[in-house]
Amino acid sequence: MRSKIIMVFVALLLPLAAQAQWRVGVTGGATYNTFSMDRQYMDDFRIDGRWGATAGVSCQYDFTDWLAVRADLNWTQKNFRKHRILHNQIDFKYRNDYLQLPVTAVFSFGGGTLRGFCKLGVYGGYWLASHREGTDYNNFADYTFDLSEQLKFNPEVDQRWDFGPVGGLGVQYRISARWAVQAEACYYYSVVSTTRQYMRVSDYRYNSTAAIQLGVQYIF
Amino acid sequence: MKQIIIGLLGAGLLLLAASSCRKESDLLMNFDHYDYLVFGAAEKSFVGKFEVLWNGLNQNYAIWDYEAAQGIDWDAVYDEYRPQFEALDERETVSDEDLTALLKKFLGPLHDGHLSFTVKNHKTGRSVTVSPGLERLKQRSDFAEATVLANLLYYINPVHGEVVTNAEGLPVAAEYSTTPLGILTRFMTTPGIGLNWINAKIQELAAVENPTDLQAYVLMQLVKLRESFSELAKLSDAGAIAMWNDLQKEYAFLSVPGLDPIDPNFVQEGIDVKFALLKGNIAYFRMSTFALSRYLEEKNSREHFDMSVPATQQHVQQVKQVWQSWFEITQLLHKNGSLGGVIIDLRGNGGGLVKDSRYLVGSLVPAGGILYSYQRFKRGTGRYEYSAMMPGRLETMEEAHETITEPIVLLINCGSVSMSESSALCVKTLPNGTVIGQRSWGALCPIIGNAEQSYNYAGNIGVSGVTPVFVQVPAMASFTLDGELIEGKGIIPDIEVALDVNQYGATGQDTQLDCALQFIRAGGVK
Repeated sequence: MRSKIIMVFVALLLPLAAQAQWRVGVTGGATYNTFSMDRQYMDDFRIDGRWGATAGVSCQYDFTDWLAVRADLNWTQKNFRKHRILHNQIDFKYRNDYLQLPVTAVFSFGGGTLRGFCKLGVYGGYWLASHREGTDYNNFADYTFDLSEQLKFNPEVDQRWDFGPVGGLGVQYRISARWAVQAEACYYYSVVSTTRQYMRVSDYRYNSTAAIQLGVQYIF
Repeated sequence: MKQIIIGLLGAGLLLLAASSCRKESDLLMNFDHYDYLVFGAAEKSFVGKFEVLWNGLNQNYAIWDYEAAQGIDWDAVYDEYRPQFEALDERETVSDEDLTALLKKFLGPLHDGHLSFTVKNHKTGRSVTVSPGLERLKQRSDFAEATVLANLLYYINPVHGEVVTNAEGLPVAAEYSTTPLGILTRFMTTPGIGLNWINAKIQELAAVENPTDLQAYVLMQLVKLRESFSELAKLSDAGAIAMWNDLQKEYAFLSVPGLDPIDPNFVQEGIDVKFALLKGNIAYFRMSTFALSRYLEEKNSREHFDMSVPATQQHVQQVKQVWQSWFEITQLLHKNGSLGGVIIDLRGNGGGLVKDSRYLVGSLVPAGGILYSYQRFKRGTGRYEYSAMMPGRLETMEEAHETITEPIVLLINCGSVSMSESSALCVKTLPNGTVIGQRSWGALCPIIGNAEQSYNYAGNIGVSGVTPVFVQVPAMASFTLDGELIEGKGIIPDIEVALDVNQYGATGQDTQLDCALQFIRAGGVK
């Protein structure tokens, strides 16, 4: 029974394999991350999105001229700002570095030279580092403090693994038979809280990250 | 085209499905003011009180990481104690002792030295108070030392040869007290005024063979007044001052010297200060609480005392003079190179105003503040959400003054709390500073006003006298320069020496002060 299933699967893939092509590439661009948490009664707290950067390598396997599967390995920043509007000395800018592996199905359309594409899939990520800078206020000694510090991960509190769906839209321009450039926008929607549920009071916090990036691909 | 539509629809559906994967956080309440929604259940149930205490601390307490390192699992505490509070709700009667005992078991293991819990027992209508720091202190073998009131009687008596005397052979020393006890004791014991004057007057009038009506009336009133004094000892400080002020108004016509109104603010702001220049030109200063700036700064005095009352003016001035005597002689002797050293006695000092540091250790060191700790604030509702570590400095005197390079000794014991301990940490940072005595209380994380604490989304739970639960919680964590939290442990002196309580009681000779004097006289090298 098992071998029959495999045979049917291979048979279905055969027509696709006839047009199969591998591509590898590099990508780089900017990210804009928003951080969601329940501010509870902290009325004057504000959490704003912040820009960051992303860079990575990609690998794509084209089954047909309209369907491909793509995997990226990228370093992506998920930055945000947490500040207070009534006490503006308290202003933290967080810079979070993630290593991500999005795997997407790519659907492309259009002409031979200029083609559009959209992609859809899931990603897994690992939180590499976190940095906080800005100002804080010591109301015991009455002074504003400039800070810039690498945050230590607390294994009890911080969830370093990340996961969620990812989608994107883009255009590809075929420069030559072997080379193509791409411009794309994608969106990572995390469904894993950045904090573990380390206490009986639950507290969930999530990143949502938009990326605008350019890429170059070599087509084998 | 079809594929695109399918792809986009798929993307939309996937995003929709994914968004439902995000979970909602629990709703948290704000405990810093009275709100029926927050405190309503605590008014009439023990579980309600438990929930306020557990959740309020979970959100507001600044040292949960430290407590976890000490082995406290706060979630396990919830599971263990909630049923016990539920059981109280099942009972017809719950005595204050039962409630206190359960609160001590539930909250006693917490290490912060300032923590104090006041919980209203709705079954009896009374409030009970639990202070884990005090309970811990009671277990210490040196607890008896905390309650010893340092006096200098032995040392300022020229017979013992410990004090420097002036040209008239009188000791170079001064002391004054504005605590209710101090003011009343002065009235009762000073020759020529107060009770002594009343006694003499009574004796005088009683000796008159044929008193006039007025003399008989005055005699009767003086006896009545004297009898009233015995009631004062039975009252709290606030109660005694209120009664005293009533007596003062009622018997003002008798013109008893010293029977002056007492500003009720001395209940909170009263201070006991002592200065003596001990042999070897060692300038000794002691204060019972950190409230000195209330007396030394004119604006501060006007804001906190009724300075229109001559007696109050005199009290404020006297405290100022004692401090000035110590400060000026220290400066003068240092300038002419004959200062032997300085002793600051903060034994039994419960702490108080941070600003006072500028008149104490801060008056001996260069201007610019003393870095003595690193401080960290709560910065959110999460148990482990903290600010960055910020340098903690105590204020120094900014006006021109001499830097004391001679040995500086600070005396502490298990009754030295909060600002006393911060001062000890400051002295430890000085090259010429030495801390002598016994391990302190262990309350370095400071408490500040509730409004300021709310600033940090941390600090007190409830409002004193208003909510059924009130907890005094420090708003921040204070670490030593080595990065250590020593809440509930205290500062270990450089030289540990116990007070021989029996000897002190019998002769007034103080083994800790003797150790400090010997240390300085031997050169004061750590």
